[in-house]
Amino acid sequence: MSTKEPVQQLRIALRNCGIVNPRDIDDCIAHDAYLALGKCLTEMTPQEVVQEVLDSGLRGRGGAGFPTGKKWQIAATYDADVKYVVCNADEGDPGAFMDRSILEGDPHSVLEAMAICGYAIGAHEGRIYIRAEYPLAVNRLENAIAQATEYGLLGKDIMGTGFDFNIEITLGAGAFVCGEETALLHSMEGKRGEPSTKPPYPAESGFMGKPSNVNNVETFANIPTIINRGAAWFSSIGTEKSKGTKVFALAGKINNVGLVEVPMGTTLREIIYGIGGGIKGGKKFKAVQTGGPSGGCISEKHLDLPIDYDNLVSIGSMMGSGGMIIMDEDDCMVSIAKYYLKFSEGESCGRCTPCRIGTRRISELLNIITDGRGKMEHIDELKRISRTMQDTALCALGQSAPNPVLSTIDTFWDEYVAHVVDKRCPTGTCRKMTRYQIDPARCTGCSLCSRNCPADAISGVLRSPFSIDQSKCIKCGTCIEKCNFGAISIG
Amino acid sequence: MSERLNSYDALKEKREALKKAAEAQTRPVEIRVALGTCAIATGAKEVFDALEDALRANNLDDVTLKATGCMGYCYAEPTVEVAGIAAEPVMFGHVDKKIARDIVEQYIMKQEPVDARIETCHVNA
Repeated sequence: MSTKEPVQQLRIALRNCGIVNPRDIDDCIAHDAYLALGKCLTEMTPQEVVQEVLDSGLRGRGGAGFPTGKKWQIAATYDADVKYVVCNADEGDPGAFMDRSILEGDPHSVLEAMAICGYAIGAHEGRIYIRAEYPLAVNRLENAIAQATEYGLLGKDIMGTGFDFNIEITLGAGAFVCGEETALLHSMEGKRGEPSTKPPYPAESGFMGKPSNVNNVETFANIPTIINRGAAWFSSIGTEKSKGTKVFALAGKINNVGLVEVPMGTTLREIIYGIGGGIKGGKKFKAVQTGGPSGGCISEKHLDLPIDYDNLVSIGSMMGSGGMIIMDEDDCMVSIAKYYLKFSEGESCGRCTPCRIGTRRISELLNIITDGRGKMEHIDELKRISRTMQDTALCALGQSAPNPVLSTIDTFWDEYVAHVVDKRCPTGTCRKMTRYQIDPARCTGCSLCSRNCPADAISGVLRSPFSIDQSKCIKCGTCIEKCNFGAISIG
Repeated sequence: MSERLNSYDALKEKREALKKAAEAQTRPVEIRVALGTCAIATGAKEVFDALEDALRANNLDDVTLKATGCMGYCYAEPTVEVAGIAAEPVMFGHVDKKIARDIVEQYIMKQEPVDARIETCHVNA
């Protein structure tokens, strides 16, 4: 399928990525860096800055989509001797690399936005929490902070306006849960990276017990453009409730793996078939996973749905940080759910019981199903545990961990039934239940499969049908690829 | 770099001066090499060095060679974009040392096409 017109990406957050030299502040200034900060400090009051962000309709790009202006407005109301602006750069979803690319390609946009936020909410301290697995991003950030400080664009008395703003970097140790803002703040304080109940929200009591405003990298990267071009311009892009653009990391079975930025309201079909160039090897599209371990799988019937925060939630997934993993006809959806639950099980911090035990139990049940020992009661049990976790887990990780299971049960029910009732994995992924079979009617006895079998599992007499020894077969699929007569199938 | 920008006007003046300096170049050609983590993993540093060598060998010291971040076309990395020859910047994909030389010696010096061109589909807002 092709779209009517070539789909264009529209870059706001990525405006300077691939264009400026991130190590050279002069090059960045020539591309408008710190212009918005100067405008805020000299021509706008803090209240006007907050109002501009509110009016823009910008929502948090880290996942849940809370209105950024609202967050700033609340943070501005708390009085304290010290307040913090925190940048969440703990990008952890499998297959997601939006924040890394922004920080590596245009670190000044994030630093500038943090200073703007500091001015708006009355904070003079900024912290970037970034995972230690991003050494190049850390290095470019450190370099950018040093250059900006030397120019007087960060640090004391910025641009001679009397406003001070200082930014420091904290390295995370690679725990997925630390992307959750309360866990992130605890980790920054040197404590265990575990979430705590909200309220109090970070705006009231955050880093070191002080009022803190936490925003994601991509959220910050939008701010300078909003200030420079105005809220009305920004809110003219996107859908009614989701304004601006979103960066997605396209991965999986897609021709043009890459980083794309499109206006909110673009359809999945436009992204996958237009910008993404379609499915690899001309295979059939099966699903797209959005929102990482907290999201869900979207099937073909929703390909034409305009993507925004609310539409994705309405079909059982979520925007998440922007990872988009494309799956084709060869992917087993029960195995996909199992993969994500295994991930959440490993990343559960263990603090609350529903998440610690729930992810474990769901993983076990999915293993039973993919091993061919499943019963229909197991699917009911999966749903029951999932709902309990959604209702009772302490933080968003636990509450959303069952989403991949629920969304695949909902959308790919027939695959669950095939595994449980027919004891069959339709894609041949679940090796414990697959049997490779040779159809005697089609087999010409050419011996090609036998000669290519790495396990010596196929034998026979030339020019009469061959057979597979199931006890030796390692289910590698080589015979199917080699057979010229379509005689071998997965049963 | 030692000056402090002590006012918003100083920043704006600096920005104008930098823009003017770029426009005043005799040959306003800019080669951008994506050098994010992912690009480096596919060999973009070698490509950058090969471009540098080719520019030096041909005495093209007026061409700007720039290390940038990710351009977003991961499937075609290493990617190199050249601005200033055609009306719009042209992107090359799967660039290796040989293609890097061709970009300098064929595309930039003779304005002859190089086979490694890839289609881009983005505009800045």
